Amino acid sequence: MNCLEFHNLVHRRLDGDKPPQSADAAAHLAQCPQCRALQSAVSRLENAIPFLRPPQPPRYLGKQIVAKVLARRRQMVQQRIRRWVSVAVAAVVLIAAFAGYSGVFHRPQRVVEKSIATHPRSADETQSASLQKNLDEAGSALANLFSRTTEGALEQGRVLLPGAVSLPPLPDALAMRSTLSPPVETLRMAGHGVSTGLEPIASSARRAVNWFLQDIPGL
Amino acid sequence: MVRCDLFQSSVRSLNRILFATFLVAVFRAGPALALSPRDELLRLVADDVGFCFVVQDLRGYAESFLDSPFFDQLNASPIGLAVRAAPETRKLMETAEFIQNKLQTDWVRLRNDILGDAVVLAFWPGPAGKPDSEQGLALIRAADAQALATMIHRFQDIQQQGGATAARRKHNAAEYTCWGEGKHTLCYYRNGPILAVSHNESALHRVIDLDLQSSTKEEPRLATQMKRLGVDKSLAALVVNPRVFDPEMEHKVAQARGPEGYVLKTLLTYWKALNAIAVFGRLQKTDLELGMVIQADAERLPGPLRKMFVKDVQASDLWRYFPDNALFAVAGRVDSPALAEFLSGFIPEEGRKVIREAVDRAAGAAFDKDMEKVLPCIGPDWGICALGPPPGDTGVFPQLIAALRILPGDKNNPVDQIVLSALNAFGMVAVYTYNSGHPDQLSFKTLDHENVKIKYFTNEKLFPRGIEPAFAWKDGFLIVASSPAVIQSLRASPATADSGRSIVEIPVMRLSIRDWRNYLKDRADSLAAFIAEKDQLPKDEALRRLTDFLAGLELFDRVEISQRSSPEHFTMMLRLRPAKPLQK
Repeated sequence: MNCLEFHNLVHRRLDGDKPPQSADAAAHLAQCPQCRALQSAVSRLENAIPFLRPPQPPRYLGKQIVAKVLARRRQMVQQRIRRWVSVAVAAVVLIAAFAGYSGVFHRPQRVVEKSIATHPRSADETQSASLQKNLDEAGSALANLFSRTTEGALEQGRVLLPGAVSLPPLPDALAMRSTLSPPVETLRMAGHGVSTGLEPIASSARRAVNWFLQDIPGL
Repeated sequence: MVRCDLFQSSVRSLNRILFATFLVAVFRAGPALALSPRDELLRLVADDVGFCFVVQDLRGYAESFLDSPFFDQLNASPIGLAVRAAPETRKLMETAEFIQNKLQTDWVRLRNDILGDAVVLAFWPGPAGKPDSEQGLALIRAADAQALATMIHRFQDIQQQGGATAARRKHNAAEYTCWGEGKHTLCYYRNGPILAVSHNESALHRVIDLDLQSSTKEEPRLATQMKRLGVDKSLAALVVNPRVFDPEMEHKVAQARGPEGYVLKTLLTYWKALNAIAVFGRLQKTDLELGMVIQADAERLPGPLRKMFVKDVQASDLWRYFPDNALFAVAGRVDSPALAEFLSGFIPEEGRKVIREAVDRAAGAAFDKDMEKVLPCIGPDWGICALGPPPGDTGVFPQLIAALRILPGDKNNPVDQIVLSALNAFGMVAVYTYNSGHPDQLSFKTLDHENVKIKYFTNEKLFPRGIEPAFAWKDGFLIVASSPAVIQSLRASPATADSGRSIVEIPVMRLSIRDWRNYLKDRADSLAAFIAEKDQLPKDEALRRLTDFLAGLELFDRVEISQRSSPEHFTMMLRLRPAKPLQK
């Protein structure tokens, strides 16, 4: 047995295998002082391991996890707000375009003079339903157009966001966070109270928007 | 001769009487003649409405917008081309054709003849605990009454062909028509060019009552309110009536206990001081304006809010320091004690104690002072600004400035010196923390410039080229900037007549898209190299993405947010200025 073969044997032992004692290994140890030293170190290590204290989680791990989860939630809320704001801005521009969309798509044709009398009436009984269906589809097409245009514009702008600009390190940021978390929690509770108070208005506004958006096309 | 004179005199007198009668008649009929299409509709909306959305003169706005140079530019722009090529656009066109075939009118006629004058959507929320008792109403004042009648007739045909049956009904001798039953009922009432539609029959009864009873001569209450809110000339406006929500809010306050009850009680005090809220959109020749107005009773408004938004409202002095060609600038004035008092109003005593302790532990210990003495010296001016790199500078990043006014305090309490010492200590700890854990070294240096001591950090590995975070005390402001050179070059423009006193409109935020375009064009090559490295892209691809982004920016020049305050009104306005005018 050479040194390399003996090292492999030691690694197997450290990995939890129980390689049988071989005469070759004993013979190699008898003549190699380095491998004897390694063997002795491994034996000491194996004897000491049971006396080690089990690893403890870092002192602030729990707070760090909570902080990360809250930060992630905040980020999601911010993303949602950003998306709605951008959708709203895009909506304004696109509504303006839609208000005159006949101009966008076939411009000089401003007023199409068509005599009502010249159109024969269709006897299709599903006209009413298909009118509603068409309007619903047009509504979702418009919504898709808004969000796609907005997402496209935002995606292009994202290329400019610096990804690796560093700030000077904050001294003991974790300690600062633990100092600030009780007042932040108090403010969060106050904010929650305000949103609870305004909930009837928000809920009525949502119902009004639903009424305007869903029921009006059906009128 | 005498008889002849008498006759002439009598005729003259009669003429005078007739003329006076005519004048009185005209004068009395005047308001009726002057009632705008919008007001003709608002006359039919009951005062207890919760939300009222008004669109007026869509025809005029649409026509002038379609003829505008901005519209031509939008049409030819990559965004315009993308919108035209989108599959959703095809769907919209199909729908337009479908409507044209079924209703036998096209979008342009629908927009001009039916919707072009005024449209009002009104919503009455259900009473507390009964949200399903809500009522909605749509009102249209058509420019062409005949076109409206024809369209309704055609619509009825479609409904009948779909199997629905119409029922003619009467309310106070006025006829209206209903389709369907129960929740699916749809009723409409037409009087000449006015059409009222609702799913709720009782909402239509109220319209009929108002149509028969309300005066056609007096300005409707909602129109007066819109005028007072300054939204009467808007293309679109949403008016919210806070009083409608009072019962439900009072109910919530009565039910809530503990800290939540405390917050709700304060909120109700603020809420009751509000008279009206409006959100509006205006299409001006050079700007698209979107805004929100809050009308409040200044006497009932609690002290801190009155102090912040009504009394002593001025533009921040920092607008003299931020140049007009800044890429981005935001600045304002916050009365710190008033803000603290306002926030305290929403936090019960136990919560206030927690905050006081935390502030004393964090900031108080750093400043070695009672924060109640420090707080009045912080502000009121604050601001953040981003500038393009100066000509000749090879840096890629914009220059950044953040500034906060800190008053010097008194001899026993020199707040400016206390804050600077705390920042110095903070800087030294930051350097120590970084250097003990990294092989490269962060340096904390001082530069003297015109009697201003500028402190700054340097480290080529940690910060990108051209960035050396710095802070200094200058002209009464604590300034934090991306490099000491930025602080050196910061100069106030001469005070104008408006500086330091209340003005009509106060700037809050400015985003110069035109200057962003110039900056991105000037630095395109360096920025493409930066993007390529950051996103692991070929440089050509990075340059293409940058060019695409620039194309999107060509349409607009500027975005501004401003505020207006008066004893009764607070208005926040977002103004979007396109590169080309919105009207010819």
